[in-house]
Amino acid sequence: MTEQTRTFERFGILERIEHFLLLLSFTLLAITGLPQKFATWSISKTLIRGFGGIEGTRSVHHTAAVLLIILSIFHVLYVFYKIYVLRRPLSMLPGLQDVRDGIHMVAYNLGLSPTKPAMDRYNFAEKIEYWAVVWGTLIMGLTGYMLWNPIATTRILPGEFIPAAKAAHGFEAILAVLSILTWHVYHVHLKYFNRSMFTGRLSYHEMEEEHAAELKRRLQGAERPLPPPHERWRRSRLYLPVAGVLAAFALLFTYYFFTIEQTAITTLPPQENVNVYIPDRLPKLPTATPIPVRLAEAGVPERLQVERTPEPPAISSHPVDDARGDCLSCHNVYGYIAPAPIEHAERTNDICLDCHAVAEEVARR
Amino acid sequence: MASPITSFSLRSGRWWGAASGRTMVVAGLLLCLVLILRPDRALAQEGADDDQQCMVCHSTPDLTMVLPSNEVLPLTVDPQVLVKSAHGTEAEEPVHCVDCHNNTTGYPHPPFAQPDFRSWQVQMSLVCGNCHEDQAVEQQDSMHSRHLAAGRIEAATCVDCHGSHDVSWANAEHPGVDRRQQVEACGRCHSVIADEYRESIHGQRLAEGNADVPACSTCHPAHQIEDPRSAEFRLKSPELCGQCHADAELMSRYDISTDVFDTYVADFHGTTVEIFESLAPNEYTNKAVCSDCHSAHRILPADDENSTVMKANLTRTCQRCHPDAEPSFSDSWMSHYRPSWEHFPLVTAVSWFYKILIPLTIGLFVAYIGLDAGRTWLDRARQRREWRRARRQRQQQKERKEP
Repeated sequence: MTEQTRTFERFGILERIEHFLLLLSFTLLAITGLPQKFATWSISKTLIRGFGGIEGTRSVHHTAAVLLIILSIFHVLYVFYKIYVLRRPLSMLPGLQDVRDGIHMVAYNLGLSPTKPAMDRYNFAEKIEYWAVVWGTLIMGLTGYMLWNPIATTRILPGEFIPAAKAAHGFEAILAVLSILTWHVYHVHLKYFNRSMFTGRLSYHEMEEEHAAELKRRLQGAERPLPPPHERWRRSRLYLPVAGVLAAFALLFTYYFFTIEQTAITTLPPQENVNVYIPDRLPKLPTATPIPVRLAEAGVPERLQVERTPEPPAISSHPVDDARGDCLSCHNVYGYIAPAPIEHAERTNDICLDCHAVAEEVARR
Repeated sequence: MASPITSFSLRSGRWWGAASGRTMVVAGLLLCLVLILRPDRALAQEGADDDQQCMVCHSTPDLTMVLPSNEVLPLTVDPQVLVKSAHGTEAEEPVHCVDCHNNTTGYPHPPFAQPDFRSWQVQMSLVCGNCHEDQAVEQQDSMHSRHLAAGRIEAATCVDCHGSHDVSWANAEHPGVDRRQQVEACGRCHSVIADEYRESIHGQRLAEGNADVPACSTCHPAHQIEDPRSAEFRLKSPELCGQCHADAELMSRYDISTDVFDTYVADFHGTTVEIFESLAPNEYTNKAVCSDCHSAHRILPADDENSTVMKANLTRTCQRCHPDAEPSFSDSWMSHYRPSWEHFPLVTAVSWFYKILIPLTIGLFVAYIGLDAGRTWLDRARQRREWRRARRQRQQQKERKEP
């Protein structure tokens, strides 16, 4: 019975930190990204408000994205370390055995097979999840980059790739979140609560259920044998500098790519340069209007009518005749010498004399 | 030598200024004459009689006065203009001179207390609110009133748009009804903008008598003009455009797509503006609103060669905010199209890919989980049964041994 209380190491500390950072960045990306896709939903607005508005939400999204990219770079280098230095088997690679295990498992679930498949270190469900994360991270990283740097992207690709990337980014997000909520939650939270990502260890019973083949191997032999120390050392001396250079290069690359462009100005768009107030059509003063003589005929009511005696023609200080030429040349309506009223403006001497010569005679009499 | 009556016919402010005392005496004598001749009317307090008293002097042709600012103010009132105005005889209740000129009720008139004509006009506009209370309250917070309050007397008052003695009817000639009048009225001060508007497709159609197109007050409600530079105005401006451009019935008359608003909100600019509007309506966002691309007043159809959004001009428009943009960058804007196989096939293909992939993947996941959960539940139930049976058997064995 001692064997059944034994626990088996499954994840080292680095894997657990990786998982924690992945959990953190994925959650942040999801809760800052999906509200942008479903911006009209009230829950989205609550979340966006929680991140300090849309600009704050986008900052968090971008920060989490950079974290995920750095994590991915680290992961790739760490996988190569495990393969090259530690000579671990490529246990995450999918193979025919996984298809067989899957079919076997379905057959068992349907009652067509009496036994469960004896699965190895990573069973088919875990491989599906791992490669789904790889696929999702690649798509999201690529399309996210395109959305973050649309100008740099369209120097290489046609413009239509930007809205296409936006569509893919949004749909892939839904796929990723739904996958986590179904596949991941079921397998490690509902079916069993698998704590190995936090404790690092699996119980005998858990190993028996899900990794029977690995359990058998580990019970028979050493627990995941490592190469001898001097070989590890020799390979590390080669691998670590190369990995360091690659990591530095990848980080610089990341930094360069995400600061490559200033997509838009940070100020308000230039507003139309229009002088708003140009009152060049504003009448300075109301213009005087000629008064019609027959107000009643013009429909003016009695209350506004004043019977005006037609003004008598002015009496001249000189004999009124044609001798001085045009009357209006002196009695200009705008002039200074007894100017004529404005309505006299167009009148000829004949018209002037009609009244003013008579007036003079009357006055003399 | 001028006869007394002739001397009453004041023709110029200069003359008035020089001989105001004499003129006043003459006018006063004339007034007395009227009082003597028609005592019944003169003593009555009826507005109509007051009007006639005013007209005794103010129908004199070319009556003017010189203001302290040296402006020459014509004082002649054309009764025809008054009659035709909204305050004239056809009005339910004709408005009389002293209703507006309520501090000029006697003769001699109180001295002209304003430095210039404009100040006088602004001062006089306050009396409009005595009758037009609602409108006076409405316009209290308008942009014009705020400028007036800040001492910029050139800002528009009631009379600048509605006229004074010729105040317009609330009918065909009213700027709110005949919106062509509106463009004229606003254009008196905002001449450049009015010209831009006239060039726009809206302005062109308005000139043709179209009743659907927006005029000035559609976006800047006449009495409640907001500051169009404010964050609120910026954020709600897409909805303003959407009032017409998302109206299927209205747009169908002109064969214009009503997708423009939804496709805008679905895109990066519109989503941001929409979020800002609901979460931070007082904050500025630099994400484009309709007018940033289409211009605010000189809006032209996208197939017009002068349009800011015409394909050939689009990159230049994008560059106003995206200085490094290249033509292929402006192609990334979907031109208010919903993606289809005809427009933006790549986007459509991506959408279809995921519309198949997502249900397929999640469907398979859920189906597998259903099977697996069912089987697990059965296994565990059987286990529990066996465990209980084993316990019963042990108990029975124990009971058998005990007696």
